[in-house]
Amino acid sequence: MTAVVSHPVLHVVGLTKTFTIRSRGRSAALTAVDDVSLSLAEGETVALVGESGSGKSTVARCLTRLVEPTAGSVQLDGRTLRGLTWKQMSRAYKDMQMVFQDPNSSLNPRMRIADVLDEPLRLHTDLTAAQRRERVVQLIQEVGLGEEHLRRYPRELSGGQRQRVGIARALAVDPKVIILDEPTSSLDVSVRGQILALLARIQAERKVAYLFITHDLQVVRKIADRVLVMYLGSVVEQGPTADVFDHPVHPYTRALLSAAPVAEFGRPRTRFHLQGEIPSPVDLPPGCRLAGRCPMTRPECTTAVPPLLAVSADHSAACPPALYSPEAEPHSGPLPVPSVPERP
Amino acid sequence: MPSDTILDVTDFSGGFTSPTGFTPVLHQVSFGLRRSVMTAIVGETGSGKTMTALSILGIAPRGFTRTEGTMVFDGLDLVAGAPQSFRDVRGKRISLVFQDARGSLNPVFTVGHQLIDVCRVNQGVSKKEAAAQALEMLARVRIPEPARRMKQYPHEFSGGMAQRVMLALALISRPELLLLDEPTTGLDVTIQADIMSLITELVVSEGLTACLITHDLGVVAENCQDVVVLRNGRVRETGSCEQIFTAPQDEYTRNLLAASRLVEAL
Ligand SMILES: Nc1ncnc2c1ncn2[C@@H]1O[C@H](COP(=O)(O)OP(=O)(O)OP(=O)(O)O)[C@@H](O)[C@H]1O
Ligand SMILES: Nc1ncnc2c1ncn2[C@@H]1O[C@H](COP(=O)(O)OP(=O)(O)OP(=O)(O)O)[C@@H](O)[C@H]1O
Ligand SMILES: [Mg+2]
Ligand SMILES: [Mg+2]
Repeated sequence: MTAVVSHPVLHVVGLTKTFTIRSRGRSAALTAVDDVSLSLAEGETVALVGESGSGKSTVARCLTRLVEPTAGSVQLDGRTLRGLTWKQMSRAYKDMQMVFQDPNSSLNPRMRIADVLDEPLRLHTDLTAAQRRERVVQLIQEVGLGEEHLRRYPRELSGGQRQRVGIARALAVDPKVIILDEPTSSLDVSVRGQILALLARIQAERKVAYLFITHDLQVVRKIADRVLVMYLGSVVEQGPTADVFDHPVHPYTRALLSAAPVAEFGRPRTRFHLQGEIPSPVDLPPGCRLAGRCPMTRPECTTAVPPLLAVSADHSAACPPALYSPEAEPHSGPLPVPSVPERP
Repeated sequence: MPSDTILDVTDFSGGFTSPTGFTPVLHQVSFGLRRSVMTAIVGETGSGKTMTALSILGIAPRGFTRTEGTMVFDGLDLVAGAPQSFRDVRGKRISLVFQDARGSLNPVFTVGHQLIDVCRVNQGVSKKEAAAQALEMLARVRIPEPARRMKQYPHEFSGGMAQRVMLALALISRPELLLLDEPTTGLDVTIQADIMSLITELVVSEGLTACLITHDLGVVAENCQDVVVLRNGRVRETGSCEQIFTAPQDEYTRNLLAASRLVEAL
């Protein structure tokens, strides 16, 4: 089920990406993203969370067509992206910008920061050289860096400084959608707060929508209107952030939410650990991808991929046992935590 | 400095020379790393954490010059000593997990190839033995299906997996001192916790000394015994983890702690 969104500025249905890899001397299909649908409304922030390797960056790369999706449709502001000419596509990309997970490999090492920021302005706006220069200075200051950084090359910046250059570049041309892949992972709390405030301000001013990929659940809680939880290529739970955080339904979501470290000395914590190993994206099990690791597994879990089922109006989860078993009523308070042995 | 330290950094200063002049980056940085202990270096972005780590390994980028200070590793002067004496130190007795994982993996060789190479160079073992160790190491850093992943190239790995491969590469040379520059930033909390417990296990069982560079105070509180607080290239405070978290002396440290509690309370 896809949440009904009033004005989707980005509308994705059935996005799938399989990579062909060599496995034991033969070629095999690795399913990185499997039938993912999502919608972003104007001015909305949707967080995409999930285990490392669950396909989040691949979703982002498919949306920006850095990799060609195997199946699925992507509509940006009502326009279908598939089948556009390069020229049309480049125009579409003015409306969709991306901040990459590794700023190192995404910033051209031979370009000074001033040119990195100038490039999108030159390609997508009619500003004069002088206006562009002014805008570049404004951009670098907005992300908390100074004019002295403009002369430098990417390798002459610290990790967090580079990350902020990536954000400044995405903000340059006033896009409708920005996909941010771990944009604040190298930033300390104070700079992170500053960047999040900047993003919020720009969103309020220009109604830009964010697809925010992150491992930082505190950030998700703070900024996201809705959250999508991915596991091994599929969305296993989605809904308004508060609903998902306060009443997580899917066992994977619950494991994810219980593992966050806390900045306090000696504070005890209960963790809901999943047993076993994440299965291979090459030989996906026929049923629920979590079946081998989940304490709630029923026989029917291993036969077919469970669909996303409604928990409430816009909250859905792909786990029938969590939804329908008598001991797990999502509307009657917090779910019982299945007894899983703590890992030592 | 107590003698149980494996690395002593004393008054280390340095900066970048450019056509426009000299920009100092590190100012009389002093701290010690106790043997078989995990020490955290915390501080905001741009405070000089990476430059400190690169200086220990003697691989600071061109343009960086040391202006004063010493670094002594297990009695060996890393700054003034003869260059050949470091060859067995750097990359072998001391290894570093770089902040930018994918960027520091070689894109043209498979991950297995790179692990096997490092293992053979450092331990002089047979190719078969190196391959077995490589496989085991990938499993230990929680790469699923290590046998298949051995044959893949870095670009075929997700961001978090590339980070773990980097850690495997650093560990396979069996270092005495492991420097980790933001090793878990791109990892979700579950794997982050597993990685940290792997390092803690090596600290306890094999006497590894670890130095964790991070801005994540949650990770510090859970895993480190000692803490060094850096700001604008200066050491603001050093102490045990408990001291820093329960009775911070420096105002900047207090602000840092307050800021992270604030985020957490949200
Ligand atoms: N170019 C590629 N060729 C082959 N496999 C790939 C390629 N890119 C990604 N994959 C695989 O697709 C899966 C999903 O990767 P992806 O980078 O999307 O994960 P992610 O959710 O972003 O993880 P992380 O949080 O670690 O960044 C992984 O198993 C990865 O190894
Ligand atoms: N080649 C260079 N030329 C000039 N200045 C540089 C160069 N490399 C780094 N710097 C500056 O040195 C300072 C310290 O950088 P360093 O990479 O050590 O920071 P850091 O503490 O690791 O930050 P982060 O948490 O963002 O990674 C930064 O202000 C950075 O801009
Ligand atoms: Mg990723
Ligand atoms: Mg750094």
